[in-house]
Amino acid sequence: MPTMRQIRSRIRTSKNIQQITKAMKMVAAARLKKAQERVQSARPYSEKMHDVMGSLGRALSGTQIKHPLLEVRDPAVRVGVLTVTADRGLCGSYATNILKKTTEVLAPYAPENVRLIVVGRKGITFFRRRPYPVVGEYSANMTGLAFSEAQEIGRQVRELYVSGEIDVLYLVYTRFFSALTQRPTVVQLLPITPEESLEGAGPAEAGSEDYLFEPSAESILGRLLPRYVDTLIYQALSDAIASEHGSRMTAMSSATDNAGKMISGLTLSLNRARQANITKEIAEIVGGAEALK
Amino acid sequence: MAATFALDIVTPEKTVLSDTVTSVQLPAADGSLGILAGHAPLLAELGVGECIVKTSAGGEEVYALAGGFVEVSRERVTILADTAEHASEIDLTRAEEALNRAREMFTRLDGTVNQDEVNAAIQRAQTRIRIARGS
Repeated sequence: MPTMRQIRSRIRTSKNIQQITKAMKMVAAARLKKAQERVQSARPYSEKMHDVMGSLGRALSGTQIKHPLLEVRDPAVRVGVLTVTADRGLCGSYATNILKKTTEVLAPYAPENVRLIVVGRKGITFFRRRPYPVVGEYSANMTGLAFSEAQEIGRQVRELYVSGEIDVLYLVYTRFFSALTQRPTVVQLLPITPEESLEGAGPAEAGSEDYLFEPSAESILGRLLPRYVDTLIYQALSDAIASEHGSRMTAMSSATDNAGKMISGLTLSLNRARQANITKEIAEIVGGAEALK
Repeated sequence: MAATFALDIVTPEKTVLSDTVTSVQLPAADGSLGILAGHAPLLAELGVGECIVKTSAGGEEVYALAGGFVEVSRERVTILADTAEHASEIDLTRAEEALNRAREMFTRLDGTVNQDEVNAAIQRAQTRIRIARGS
């Protein structure tokens, strides 16, 4: 049976922890809101980008489209994986889930055929102890993600692909559905699949227009495809950041609840111990008085 | 009153402008490009330069654009810019610093830096300085 002093100090510790987790929860909630806004405001661009790709695809549909980023290599022996993880912990199973997914993707490949590009410190430390070669390490800016960060990553993965160091590139990131649901997702980034990107915009709407291209459709496509990759990476990064904040918020909210439960449990046993003390003292006094008779 | 059309300027980070306008002047990859209402459908690459928008309310807005695309369809014009800054948002001292940095890189060009990138950086900085001074 712990003494009253021990119980009191445990209550104090729990209260301190609760204060911290509560503050972290509120910070995460505020940042989540901002991150969600960023996901929202990136949407018009990527939708429009998709439209433009669709119009280009229609204009070029008769011709054989050739571009290094569209070239499919079969069989794909060397694989590149771009994985987006967290920088910091205390966000529940967020980092574990994404790393588990990444390991799943890597499982069928021999380590020497793998090139890893890792975003986030959690992933970097995770793969340092594993045989897979990490060729790129990045850290996303959690509070103010800039498009230039995605471009930098995009440049490196395109170089890896075009130079033939990898035959296919997968992107592993956590897709953001809501503050409570985030799911690790794998998408093939390179080669760009024309069915999805170029023809995915659906059949031409009525009165579809014949576009003029300036300087030419091929040249625009050549500029557009790399930008498309950057956009996908940017989207993945902003989704991952929103997911991380969401995950942290949920984790910290349950930590605060658990601390609250612990405090009330400890308060109960403190009261019991105090009552037991009083009862014991009364019994002693009664016993003493009895003996004096 | 002149005919108007809808114009959106979007960057990967946000929507910069969404308004009804009477004309827009753009820096296309190989020369300046002016668009009025009723323009034929067009897809064009953009270069670096200033974009002058004449709104239907009669105002004139100037943006610094760097790279991207413009899509002109029957109903609307969409500018997909890599970066777009309104004249009032440009930080003149930062732009000047960027220009100095780019010039310095230019003077010690070796194999490590891409000359096109340096040229583009210089052009970007010069455009921003010009626009910021003009407003």
